[in-house]
Amino acid sequence: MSVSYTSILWNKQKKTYDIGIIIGVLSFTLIFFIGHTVLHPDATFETIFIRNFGLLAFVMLHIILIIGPLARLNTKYLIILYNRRHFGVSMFIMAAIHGIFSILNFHSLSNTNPIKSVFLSNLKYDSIIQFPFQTLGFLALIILALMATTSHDFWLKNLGPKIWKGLHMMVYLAYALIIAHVVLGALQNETSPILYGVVFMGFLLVAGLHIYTGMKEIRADKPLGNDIDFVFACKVADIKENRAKMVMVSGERVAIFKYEGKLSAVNNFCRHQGGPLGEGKIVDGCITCPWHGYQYRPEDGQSPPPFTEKVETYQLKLENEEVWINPQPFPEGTHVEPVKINQ
Amino acid sequence: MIELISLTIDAFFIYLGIGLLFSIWFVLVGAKKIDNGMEDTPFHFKLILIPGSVLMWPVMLIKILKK
Ligand code: HEM
Ligand code: FES
Repeated sequence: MSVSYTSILWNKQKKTYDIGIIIGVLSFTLIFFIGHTVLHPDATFETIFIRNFGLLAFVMLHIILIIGPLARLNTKYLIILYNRRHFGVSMFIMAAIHGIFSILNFHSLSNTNPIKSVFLSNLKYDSIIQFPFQTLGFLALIILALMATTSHDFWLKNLGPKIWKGLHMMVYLAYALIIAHVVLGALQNETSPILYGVVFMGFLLVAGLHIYTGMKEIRADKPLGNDIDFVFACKVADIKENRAKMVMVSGERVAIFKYEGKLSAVNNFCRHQGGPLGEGKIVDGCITCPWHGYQYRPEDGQSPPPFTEKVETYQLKLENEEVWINPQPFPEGTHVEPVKINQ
Repeated sequence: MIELISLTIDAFFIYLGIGLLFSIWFVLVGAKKIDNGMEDTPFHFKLILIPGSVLMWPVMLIKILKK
């Protein structure tokens, strides 16, 4: 929310969240080391270490990719989404441990440059079975590094939303590279089909959830009308207390909030990173974005001082139990008297 | 092919090297020029801008030159 920067805006919830990540990482590692030693007693420490952190990063990447769609289906997942950037940076650290340790282990013993060794020690680029799969992991790691190192709001603001968003959409390219890295790499070690099955299920889950929520959104986006007159939006009873109903008017998504016996409508697009305000809640009298917690007053769409973000507001009216909306937005931050619900 | 890969990796290292030099200047001087929120930002926070500016230096350089 601009003003000056601190590394991370610490609050209790974020600390709990980060402790959760650390506990998760440690338990995964413990279970993996024990399990691996039981199943393959002759494996070296280095092998287990490399596999552990590769797999951990891979699992975390799946969680990151499905958490967006999941939070749209069920708001109880919002808490994980809320600090997705911490999760992303942690995932990068796990991937970096795996990658750097692999390079130290396999490529730093000769006197060629270790990175050149990753790309040039195996030249069977035309083979599938013996493909130099580590190169794919390396390229993916660079993408993850770009995302992790630019995840702070400073970069969002100063690279501009277009470049930033572009960088972060590359996560899907990284995901494809990593799947190829795992499958082609495993082809050279693993003989059991279980790994392929699990990788394939993970992919189905990610792709399936994205397609499913995408289709739901297209249906929800059917416009209500484009004329100046008020158009019917929803019933008062359709909106839960302190939450919103999203409607599409004049090509824009609008969130209609119900709180303290009143109704207010604002543009759905959070000015931070475009989070869906209509999926957020009213907290302390302010609309609170589900993604990173930016807040806006429902009656005028303004962030409380010292913050300066603003969203458009809309005129509502009530007819019996029906909520009607004027599709013409007011300029960002315009005060609109909330509509009182007679209960 | 081997030559090309080898040259690309050399270029990558040169890119990172320039990025490292740039990032030191960026943290000490440059960041203030494009973002006035940096004026009273504590120094330890500025350090976390280093990795990002090592990688994204051409974009930031262009933004600063355009100002
Ligand atoms: C510099 C980059 C990388 C290098 C040099 C590298 C190297 C390796 C090697 C040597 C293996 C085989 C390990 C074995 O089975 O003994 C492997 C497997 C694997 N890697 Fe990577 N990797 C890199 C990046 C990544 C990244 C970015 C990810 C995911 C986020 C990743 C995830 C995995 C997974 C899931 C496996 C297979 C499961 C396992 O055997 O642990 N790798 N990688
Ligand atoms: S998108 Fe980040 S707070 Fe709304």
